[in-house]
Amino acid sequence: MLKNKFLLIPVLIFLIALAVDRILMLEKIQTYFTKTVSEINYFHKPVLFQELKEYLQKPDRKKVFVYFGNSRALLFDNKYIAEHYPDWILFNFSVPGGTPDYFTFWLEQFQADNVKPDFILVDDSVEAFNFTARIKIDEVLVNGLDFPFILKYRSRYTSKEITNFIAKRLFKTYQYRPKLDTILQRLRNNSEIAKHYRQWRIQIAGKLKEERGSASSDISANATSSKELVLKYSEGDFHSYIDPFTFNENMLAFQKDNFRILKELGVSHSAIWVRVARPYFQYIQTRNAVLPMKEQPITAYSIWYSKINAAHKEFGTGLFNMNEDKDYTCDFFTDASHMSTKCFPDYTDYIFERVIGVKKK
Amino acid sequence: MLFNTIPFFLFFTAVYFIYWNIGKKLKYDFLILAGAAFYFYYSPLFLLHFLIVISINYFFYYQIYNGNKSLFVKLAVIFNLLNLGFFKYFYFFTGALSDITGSLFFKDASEGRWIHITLPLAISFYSFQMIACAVDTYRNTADEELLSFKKYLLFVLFFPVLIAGPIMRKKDFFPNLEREVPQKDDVYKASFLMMSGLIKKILLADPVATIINPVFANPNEYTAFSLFMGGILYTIQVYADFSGLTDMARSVAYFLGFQIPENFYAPFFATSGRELWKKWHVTLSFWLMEYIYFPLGGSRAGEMRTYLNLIITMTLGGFWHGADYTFVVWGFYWGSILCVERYLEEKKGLPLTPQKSFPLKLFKAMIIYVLFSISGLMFRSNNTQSMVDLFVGLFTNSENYLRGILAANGSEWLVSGMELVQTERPFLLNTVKSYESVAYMYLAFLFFHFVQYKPEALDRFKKYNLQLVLLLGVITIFLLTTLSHDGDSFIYTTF
Repeated sequence: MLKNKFLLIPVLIFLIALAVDRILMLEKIQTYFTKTVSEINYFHKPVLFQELKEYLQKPDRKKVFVYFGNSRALLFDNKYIAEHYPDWILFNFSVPGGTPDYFTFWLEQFQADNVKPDFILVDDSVEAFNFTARIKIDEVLVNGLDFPFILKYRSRYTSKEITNFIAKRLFKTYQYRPKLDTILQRLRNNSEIAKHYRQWRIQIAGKLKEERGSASSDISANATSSKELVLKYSEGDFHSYIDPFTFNENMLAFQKDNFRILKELGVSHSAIWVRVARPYFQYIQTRNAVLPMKEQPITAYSIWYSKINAAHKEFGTGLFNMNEDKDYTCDFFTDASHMSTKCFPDYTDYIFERVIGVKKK
Repeated sequence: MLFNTIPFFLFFTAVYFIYWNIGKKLKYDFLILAGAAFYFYYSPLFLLHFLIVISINYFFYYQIYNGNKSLFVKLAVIFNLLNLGFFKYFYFFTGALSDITGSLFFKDASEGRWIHITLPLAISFYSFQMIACAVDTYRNTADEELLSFKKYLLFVLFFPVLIAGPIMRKKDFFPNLEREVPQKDDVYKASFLMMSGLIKKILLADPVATIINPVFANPNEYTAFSLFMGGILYTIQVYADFSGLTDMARSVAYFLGFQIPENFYAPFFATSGRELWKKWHVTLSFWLMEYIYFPLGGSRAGEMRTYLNLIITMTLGGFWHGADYTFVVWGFYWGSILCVERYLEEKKGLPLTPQKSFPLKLFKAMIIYVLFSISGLMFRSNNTQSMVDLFVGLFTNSENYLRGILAANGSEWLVSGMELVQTERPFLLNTVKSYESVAYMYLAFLFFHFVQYKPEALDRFKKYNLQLVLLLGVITIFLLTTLSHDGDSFIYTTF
C-alpha cells in the first residue's frame, strides 16, 4: 500500500472531512448553527461523578441522594433542599432523554469505583420503554454512552442504532445538521443571536456545575401552560412517544441490570414514574396504542405496567408511581411531560418524604 | 450490511487495508474469506446453505466442463431453479394452488402456518449467475481453462455483488484476476462511483420515497393526479435507488481492483421500449435474452412465435423480481409493449423511433418514461388488491366523481349532511406535495442520466482527478451528513 500511495486517497478524503467537521464544531463556529444545549448536561456528568466521589470521602458530609432521571428531573432547587432537608444533598445525574441504558452506564462505574451514596432514585417512564415511538430521542446514545459500553451491550442495540451512534460520533455535523436559514439568522446584527446563544450555553454549563447537575436548558420551564395548551401537547406527545407502542425488552434488560447493581451496591434505592399532565396520563392509561403484531389492541400502560411491575418484584425494588398517587396534587405543567417549576417544591417533598422517608423541616 | 451503512464502512475499511497489504497469492483467498464474512454477518445459517449450493454447482460445472454436458447443464438449471423457487416462490405457488383448489392445506402453507421461509440474501442474483456459468460452459469450453473450486468460490462469493448484482458472467469477472498491480484510475473511478451512488440513494431515492410512500400506502385517499405522480416519482426513486446501489457495488469492486459491468446507461433517454431494456438493468436484460429468449427461438421462429417469446421472456423477467401477480402483470405489460412496438415498426413500417429530430426524440423519451411510470404503479404496489386500487383510482379518485356517484344514487342528502357536520368538502382527497424539492431531484436525475449517456464529456476534467476527488469527496460527505434522512432499504435487495 505504501508503494502505491494513491490507494490512500479515500483515507485522505475521510481525514479532510473529519478535520473540517471538527473545525465546524469549535464553540465559536458551532454556535452559528447548533440549536440545542442539552448535550451540555451530558458533558457535565463525568465532572459531577468526580465531584461526587470526592464529596463522599469528606468526613463531615451530608447524606447524598443521587437521581438518575430525564428532563422531568432537571429543575430541582438546591436551596429548597438545603432549607427543608438540611441533612441531604442532591447529585443530579438526570439528562434530557435519560433512559435505563444511560443509568446502567453510570451505575456500572459507581460499582467499579465503589461509589455508595445514601439513596439512589431511577426513572421508570413509559416513554423510555417504547421501541417504536415516532420520535426517537437518541441523545443518550449519541451524547451519553461510549464505544466500550456499546460494544459490551451490542446485542441490545439494533444495527440502525449502532450505525447512528458511530455516524454521529464521527461527524458532529450529522448530529447537528447545519441549516443555511439558521446560519443566516445568527449572522444578522453583527452575530447578536449567536453571541446570546453562546452566552446561554456558558451560563448553563456554569449552572450545572454550581447546582450539581440541576439546571434547565429550557427557557420556558418556569411558565405554566393553559389547560387547552396542555391538552394539545398531550395529544402531540401521545402520538410522538407512545403510539405506536412496542415494549423495548432491551431497555427492560438495562433496567433490571440497574436494579441488580443497586442491590449489589447495598444502597437504598427506588424507582419513580414522575407525574405527567393529567390528559397525557389519561391517554397513556386508556388509549389503545397501535400494535400491528397483536390481534387485540392494548394500552401502552398495561403492557408497560405488567412488565415493569414484574421486574420490580423480581428485584424487590420499590416503584413510586406519582401519576396514580391521590395525595399528590400539584398539576402545573409547561407541556404534557414537564412540570412547571411551581410544582418542584411539591415534587421535591414527594421524593424526600414519600420515597426516601425524610421529614420536612 | 448495506453499502450505505456504518457496519459496511467498518467492514470494508478493514478489508481494503488488509487486501492491499498482503501478497498477491493470498489476496484471492482473503477475498473469499471476506465474502464469507459478509454473508455470515447477514446469516450464519444461510452462509452454510450458500456454500452447499456453490459446492453442488461446482460439481455440475466440473461435470459439464469434462464432457458430461447435456445431463449436468439440465441438472444445474433445475437445481438452481428449485433452490430459488423454494425460497422465493413457495408462498406464491401454494397461494395460487389455494386460490385454484380452495384447499385449506395450501392456504395454510401459503400463509406460513406450517413452514416459515426467509429469502436468502442475493439468491435471485447468485442463482442466475451460476446458471449462466453452467450454460456458458455447456456452450463453449474450447478456449477455457477449468476453474478451480477456489476460483469458482471467489466468482460467486465476491461480496461487492452479493447485495443486488450486477449479475456477472465468467468473462466479466475472470480477466480481473490477471491484472497485476493496482491502478490509480481505478481508485479515482471507485471514489466517483461511491459519491454518485451515495448521493443517488441518500439524497434522491430516499427523499422521493418519503414523498410517495404515503400515496402507495393509502391509494384510496389520494387524487388521480397524485396517483399518476406517484408513478412518475417512483421512476426517479427506483432509478436512483438501483443505479445508486450498482454504482456502490462497482465502486467497492474498483477499490479492490476489479472492473465489473454497469447496469444502467441513461435508461430514460431511451426512445423505444427495446432501447430501454438495453439500458435498464442491463445484466438482467442480457441474461433474459441470452438464457431464455434465444433458447426459446428468439426472433428466428416466425412472427407469432417471436411475440410469444418476447411475452414469455418479459413475464418471467417480471416474475424474477418478486413472487406476486403484480410482477407478473408488470412483465406481461412490458412484453406486450415490445410486441406492439415490433409489430408497428417492423410489420407496419411506422417510424416510431425517431433517429435525428431532437424534439421528436425528447417526445418519445417522455412517452417511454410515462410508460415506465405506469408500470411502476404495478411494480410498487404492495399486493394485487393495492395494484387494482391504484389503477381504478387513476380514473375515479376525484372529489366530483364521488359526489357524482352519491348524486346518481339519489343520496345528495348524505353529501349535504356530511358538509354540515364534517367539513365543507368531505370528499376532498389528499395530494402529493413538495413539488419544489421534486423539481430539484428531477434535475439531479437528469444530471446522472447525462453522465451515463455521455461519460466522455467528463474526460476533459481527468487531469484534475486528484483535486476533484478530494474536493467532491469532502463535499459529498457534508451533503450526506447535513441533508440525509432516515432511509429505506434498497428496493432491489428484496428481490
